Amino acid sequence: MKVAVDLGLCDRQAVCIGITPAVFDFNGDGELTVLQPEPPESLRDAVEDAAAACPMAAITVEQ
Amino acid sequence: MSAPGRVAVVGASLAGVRVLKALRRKGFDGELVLIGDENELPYDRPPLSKHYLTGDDPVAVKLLEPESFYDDVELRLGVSAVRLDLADRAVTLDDGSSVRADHVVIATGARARTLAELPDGPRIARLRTLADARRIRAAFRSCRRLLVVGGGFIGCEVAASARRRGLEVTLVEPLAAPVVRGVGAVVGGTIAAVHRDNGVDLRVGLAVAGVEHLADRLVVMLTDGSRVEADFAVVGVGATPATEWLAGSGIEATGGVACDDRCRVAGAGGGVWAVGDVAVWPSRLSGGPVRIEHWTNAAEQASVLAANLLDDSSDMCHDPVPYVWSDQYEHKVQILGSVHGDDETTLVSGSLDERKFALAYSREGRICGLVAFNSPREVVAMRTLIAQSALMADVA
Repeated sequence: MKVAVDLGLCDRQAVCIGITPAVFDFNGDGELTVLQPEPPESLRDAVEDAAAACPMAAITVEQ
Repeated sequence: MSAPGRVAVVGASLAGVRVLKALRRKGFDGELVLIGDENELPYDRPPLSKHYLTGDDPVAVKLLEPESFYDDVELRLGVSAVRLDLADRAVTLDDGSSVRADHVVIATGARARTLAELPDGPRIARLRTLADARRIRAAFRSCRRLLVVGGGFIGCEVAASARRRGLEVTLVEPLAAPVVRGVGAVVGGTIAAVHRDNGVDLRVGLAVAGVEHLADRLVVMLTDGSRVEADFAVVGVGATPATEWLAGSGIEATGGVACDDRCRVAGAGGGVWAVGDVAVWPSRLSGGPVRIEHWTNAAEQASVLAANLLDDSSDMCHDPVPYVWSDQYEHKVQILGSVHGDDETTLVSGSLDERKFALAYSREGRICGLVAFNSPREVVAMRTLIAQSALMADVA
């Protein structure tokens, strides 16, 4: 599974960080960063929940 | 896992579309019907008060899903549900047809309230639908003076968008400050100052008493006897759940459709579900039944609904930490948890003067929510504490 955030869309709402802090965080500049671009399968539901909850639809999850 | 067969979703906005998406994602391969009363492919509503009004031509409508998403969905757009028959789970539509299904999902959302003193007219609009937003967008391009009635988040965003387009804006709010009922005097005072700094003529403690429709403008009388001339008016005075079509169905729908924390509608005999702005459910976190009109609530609740619809033994319950945001001018306001205007507030970071701060809300010594004003990091830091109803003594 591959996770990416489109920083052009990201509005720094932090919903994804709240749902799946193991994968998403802010970096030192306050930009969203993907901590694990290829997270383990065990995080799939949590990552897909975070993608679904993003108000900007900025997160993509590939198989 | 049971085999639900055919699922009819009534309401084609975020909650309804996300139910379809979650069902498919979780492997459902039965028939899906989506019924919506607007003649539009389902679109995202939050931009309607923001970018859709301010953006230059051509402005794009943000669709929830591309058209191809509906290839395997029976899409019934431009028709309203007028009746639900629980015995055979049949939804009657206003074109005389009827849709039967094994499961009916009630996702009809809410409608913008009207104001008796300022009823809809050629120069008066409410903002809920894309059609409403098109009218307001057009008015922003042909009018000079805008009156906004109601200082909730929608009214404030419309006022901010109008200023961005260079209109003269009067904002009338019956309470002492905008958004004060929802988030209290501290944030209300900040938002009031932001609007005044941006040139809005903010008139608080006043309501509309009446209106005169002249050939080329409106003259609106306020309760202090003053008059506001405007070329166009937007009324933003809240929303009510769209449940008229459930009258006579046997479902009690005053103030919303009651369901449990798995989205099952009470007293419907099974196979009937509710989600999004229309749903009322028991929230452990809020200590009672709640109805939440937030974007993220609809998205999250849809996922819970789909899991439970597909699997009777699912243990997924809906009790999220509520979240909503507002963009006004260059400011981002984020609200986490269940926040009321009369909660106690404590500044946990930043400074009100700098308009960059986080304010914790508490009841009986326990944190229940947060408003982060230009402070997105605080939303992350506080979410767990709010989910745990932590003692304020441990928060700040």
